[in-house]
Amino acid sequence: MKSELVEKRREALEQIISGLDETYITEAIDYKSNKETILFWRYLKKVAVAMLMVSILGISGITVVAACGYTPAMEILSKLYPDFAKRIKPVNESCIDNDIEMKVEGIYIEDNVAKVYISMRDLTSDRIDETIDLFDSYSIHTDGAQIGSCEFVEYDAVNKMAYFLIELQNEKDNPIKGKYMTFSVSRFLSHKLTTDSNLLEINLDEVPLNPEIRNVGDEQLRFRGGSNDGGRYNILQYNNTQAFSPVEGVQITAWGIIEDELHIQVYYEDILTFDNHGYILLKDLNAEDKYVYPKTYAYFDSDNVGSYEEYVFDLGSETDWNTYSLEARFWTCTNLTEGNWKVTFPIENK
Amino acid sequence: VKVLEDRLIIKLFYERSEKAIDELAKKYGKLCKAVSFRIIGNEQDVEECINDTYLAVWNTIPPQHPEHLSAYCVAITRNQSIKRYRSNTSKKRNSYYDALLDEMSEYLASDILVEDEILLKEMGEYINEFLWKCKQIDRVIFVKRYWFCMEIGEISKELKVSDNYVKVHLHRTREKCKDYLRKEGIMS
Repeated sequence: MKSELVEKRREALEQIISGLDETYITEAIDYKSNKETILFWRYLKKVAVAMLMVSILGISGITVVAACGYTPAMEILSKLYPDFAKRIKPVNESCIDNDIEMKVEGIYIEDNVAKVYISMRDLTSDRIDETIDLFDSYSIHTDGAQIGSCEFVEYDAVNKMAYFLIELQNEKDNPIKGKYMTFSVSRFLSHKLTTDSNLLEINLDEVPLNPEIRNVGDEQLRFRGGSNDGGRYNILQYNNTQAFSPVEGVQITAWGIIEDELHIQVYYEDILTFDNHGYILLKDLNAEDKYVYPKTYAYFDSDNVGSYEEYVFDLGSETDWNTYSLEARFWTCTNLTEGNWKVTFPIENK
Repeated sequence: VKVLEDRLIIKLFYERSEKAIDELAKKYGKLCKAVSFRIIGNEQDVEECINDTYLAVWNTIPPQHPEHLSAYCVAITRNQSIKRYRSNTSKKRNSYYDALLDEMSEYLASDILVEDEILLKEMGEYINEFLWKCKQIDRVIFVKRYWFCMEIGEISKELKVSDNYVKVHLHRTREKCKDYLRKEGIMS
């Protein structure tokens, strides 16, 4: 009896703890890096203030000071956060191309992990914003095998600077210092748009039952998702009379019923350049949060530039389409900036 | 080896690409396994829970578009692991996890509570409120200990503090939590 009560208590506690707010879970996962990141942004602000003061007062010699790796801000930082300042190494390595500066702000190393803070700033216009996306165009080279990632961290609207954090980790527990890293970026996207739409132009009550179709095989597809059938598939032909564009960069190019399945064909323009992409789901209006997931068939256009993606919903022949609505979301972009930004620096502590 | 950004992993899930699971495993597999192992305590069940996690993520994204993929994924693992743990026979019970629950028991559980689902839910809400009012370091230690089921030594190493610091802060947080719940009339 007693052990039953103990067990019930444990289950009750489990239920309570499982309900902790997701924000706290994320906070606990990120706590270490958050702490460092917050301190680092404070450090950057001090750098900006110190630089400004130097330029206002007309003090010369800033270049010499900076070149020695000892900025006025480091002095301030040492007083404010002595422990952190000891661990962050300022790296005065930068490059400019296409009027955009990429700069290594600092590096922090602990055991087998290195964290590198990089900034990008547009010196002449507003090509950088909070939606900046390196779109996998960056590369991280080191003289050894590591796991590396680069994540956008923050956009400083006042100074029009975007900050990125590169994390590099030795796969084994070997110390990481003593190596060199080259970080390069060849292009980035910015001013990206997210568009939600119910695609009301598609009347689910009047979906064509005999659309023009064509047959394709696996070898013609860019990818296939949500189905294991393999082999060949009937998909829609582009239909000029149906086509409409919910947002620049995306066109709905055909829809119809093929073998009791609803097909909707979407064309994403220039996906390799602008990363235009999206999804369509069917929402069941009679149930909260109940969605029907499509199978997808994607294939390049004849120029291998844009991609057709066909979303296929299988609901059976007796479907009452009145009880469903379409939900679509599209991520699009029209701003691409290209250049050759490259910095090489040693991975070492002070 | 490049690890993808969360949004790119989510994009792969939206495209229904099987690469999504590989990338998810590469980035968060270790974290999920650690949490699952602390709850279940045996490798074979952990592997099955991790596979169930990947399947659950696959089945929920889309339409979900989690803001924090790490928390989303590890929360699923935790739930799967608890379910698995509850269904295990007494031979497979993990005394570490039971001890961890018992550590909180005298502060947060009461006999009235275990019988009352509504009160249980309400208490959960009050604990969330309480944690919001805590200092960040205390909240992080509490969550690492009781949600992530981490050992005292693991927490102290990660936060670069002593074991004693963690123990003292946990003790104080539990006491404060109990007082808070009493003041709010949730516990007697």
